[in-house]
Amino acid sequence: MVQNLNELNKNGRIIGKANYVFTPEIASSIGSIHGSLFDQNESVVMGRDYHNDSRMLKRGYTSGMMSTGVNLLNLSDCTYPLLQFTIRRFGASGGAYFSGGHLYSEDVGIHFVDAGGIELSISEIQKIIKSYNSYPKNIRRVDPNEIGQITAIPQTQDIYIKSLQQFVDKKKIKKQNLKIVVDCSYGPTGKITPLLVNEIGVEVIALNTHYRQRHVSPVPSINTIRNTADIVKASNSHFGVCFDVDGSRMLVIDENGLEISFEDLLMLFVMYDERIQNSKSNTIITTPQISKVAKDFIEESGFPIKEVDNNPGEISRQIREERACFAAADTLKFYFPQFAPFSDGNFILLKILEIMTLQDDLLSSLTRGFPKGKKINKTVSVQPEVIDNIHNRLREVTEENGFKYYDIINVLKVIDNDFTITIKAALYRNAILLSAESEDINNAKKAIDIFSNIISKI
Amino acid sequence: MLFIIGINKGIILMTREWSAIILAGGKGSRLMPLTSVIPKPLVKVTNKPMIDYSIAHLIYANIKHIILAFAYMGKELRDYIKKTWTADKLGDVELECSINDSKGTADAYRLLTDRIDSEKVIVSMADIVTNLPMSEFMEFHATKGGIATISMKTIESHTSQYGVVLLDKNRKIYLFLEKPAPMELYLSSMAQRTDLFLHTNVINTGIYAFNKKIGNILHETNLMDFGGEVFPYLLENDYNLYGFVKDYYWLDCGNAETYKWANWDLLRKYAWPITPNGQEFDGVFVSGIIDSGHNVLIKKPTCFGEHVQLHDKVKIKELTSIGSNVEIGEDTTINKSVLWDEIKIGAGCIINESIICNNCEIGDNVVLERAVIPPNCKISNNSQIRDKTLELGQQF
Repeated sequence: MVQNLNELNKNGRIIGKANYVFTPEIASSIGSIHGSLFDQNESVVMGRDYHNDSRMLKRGYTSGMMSTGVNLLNLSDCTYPLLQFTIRRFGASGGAYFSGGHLYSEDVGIHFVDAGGIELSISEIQKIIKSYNSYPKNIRRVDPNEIGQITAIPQTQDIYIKSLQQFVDKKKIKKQNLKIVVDCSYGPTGKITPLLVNEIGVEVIALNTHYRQRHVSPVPSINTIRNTADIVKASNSHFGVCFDVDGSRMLVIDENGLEISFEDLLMLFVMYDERIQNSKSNTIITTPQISKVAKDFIEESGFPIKEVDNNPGEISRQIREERACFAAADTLKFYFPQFAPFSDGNFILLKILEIMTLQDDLLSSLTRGFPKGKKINKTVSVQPEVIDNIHNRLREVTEENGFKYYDIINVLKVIDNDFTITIKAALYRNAILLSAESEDINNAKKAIDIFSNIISKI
Repeated sequence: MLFIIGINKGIILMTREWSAIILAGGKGSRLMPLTSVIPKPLVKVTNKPMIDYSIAHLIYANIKHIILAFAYMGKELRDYIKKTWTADKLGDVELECSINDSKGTADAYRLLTDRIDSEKVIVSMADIVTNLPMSEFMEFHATKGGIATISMKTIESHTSQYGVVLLDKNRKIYLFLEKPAPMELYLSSMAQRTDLFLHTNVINTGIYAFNKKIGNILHETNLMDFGGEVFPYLLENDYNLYGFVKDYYWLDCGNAETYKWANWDLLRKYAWPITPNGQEFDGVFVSGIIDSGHNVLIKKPTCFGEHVQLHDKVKIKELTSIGSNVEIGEDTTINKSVLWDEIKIGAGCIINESIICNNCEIGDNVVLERAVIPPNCKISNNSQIRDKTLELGQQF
């Protein structure tokens, strides 16, 4: 049994492999610690992804939470943004979400959420960790007749879909006769996105909507992305998207089967979203790691910019404090405060549909003219047999060579003092694409040499 | 505008179309300790008391008769109003003060019904900062012809704090839930008709327009509070109630954190045309004299009251509001903070995202990080206060 919960502390969140280190007993203790932070009879929303390990740990957490006299609204399997939406919509006092992640595909992590639908800060999560280490001190246990209720709220998904649709002009989008491919990555998005887009008159080809047991290779993987790209082209769709398992972000593929970069998506929203365009005195929040070309674009478009570290909930809190009109993290998360202070893949999808409708144009055409910055690029071939698990292998070799990276679904972004380099698997060949950027072109070349060498050894 | 309402024994009886009541009776206990020695309406946002914003807002909408309803520290408020809102500032506007011990917002209105001389009445609050388009709001109320119109706003917040409303496309209100339980909201959401929409991120911003008839209803029913009692009563009894939903600036300075935000927002001109007190010089608002030493850095947007003394190498960074009679010592840096009046700050201090109230003395090399310093406090040299609220008059 873990004595110090810091053993499960990864990047400020509680994450661990179920039954190996993260047991139902620990989950139950965490539930009673978290529950004791609320007043008795307050309501808290819970949710999880499809997997049985998340389900088991959530049940452990539930018993602990109920023991403190807190009432639970149970969403069962749902996306993370749906849980955040539910907390805000029904005025609950907070929530907890159990799921695997792209970065830790074999593990289960907990997202603790406050009453505003925003993830708790690292310091607040640390308080929970500290309480565990002195468990059961400061835990409230109530009389048996005061134990919290647990109530299922199965219709919430319909309310969420209706609410999302209110933010776009359904009639205009319907007239556009759009067709898209949606890869739901075996996650709960499969129960939402096809319905959502279909109801606004967009034809949808939905992939990987079913349950699949947790797998060592995270999804979206290069294979699922390739599959989506192929289907976009074959079906003559307008674009495709691959959702992250928790539904908070997604990768976008244009009608030619090519990935749209984070920078191009950011510029697309800044340039074409009417609400953002009408809020020029309001700040745009970004992470410090975004490329210079994106920063310059925001500033030249007339928006003050504020950089915030991508720690749990930090961007959302800064949106509130700064009254920001938009935020973007280079992990492919985009925040539209008129809907919510958090990133929701489904809302991002609706925004893209809206922009394409209002501009009456294709994504490749809308993003073609955006500045690309000065980059040095190189393609490094790899053996076909490593492609299946390429993302994990790239992470391993990057770590082994002492570099810190950011996981952006199909991309690893390494930021060194002298350069920034993105590493990703090519969609149409067995190769890795390297793209380096630096103030000094020689540093960018050096980065390409270092990583070509590293990758050639895979 | 005056209207003829009848002729009695040859005397023409006139009435106005609009008058207004500003409710300013609350204790402001949520804003403690900022309200420990002054009432909430006198708490300054960018160097101007909140009640002044409310009065100016109504005058800007061409309302000629305004009644201020005071309760807690009513005498102090009345004295302030008399001193500040002099005849030359008011012109043809009638500004009345009334001190009553009311038991709620509706009770405060009921106690003033005899003084209302108009067909329609605006009820506003003295503790909010907003640029609600008042004339548009009044026109909306007149056009709809309901008994009451509630100003509403779409917000990025959660519902438990404010309440929810069910509206149709014509903005007629069908349901009004004050701070509902989550399950209540869930069930209401499922039961709604397709032509109605449950707005859970639309909040009642506390400004109301009423027809005069509301006075009779209040006398008949003895209801005490608009939000919790009067509006539900009106709906239950089939009165037409409308919601004016619009995107405008509104902030309830409910606690120290949102109070700071209100200061920042006004400096950032988010509430335009409402701006900080003073004359603007490229984002720096100045009300009086700044006595500045050498190598002083002032960033924008910031605002300054009267008689501010900045010693050498002082840095006033963005989103800082400094009141009157403030002295800041050499090499001190102030960032995103709100300083009230009569404050002395020593040398080498770093003050970040903090609030310092009236009559405080801060020693040398003090670090304040997200601190709230109530009136009459004294902070000794080299102190470090982070994420803490001191008590009134505390010596630290």
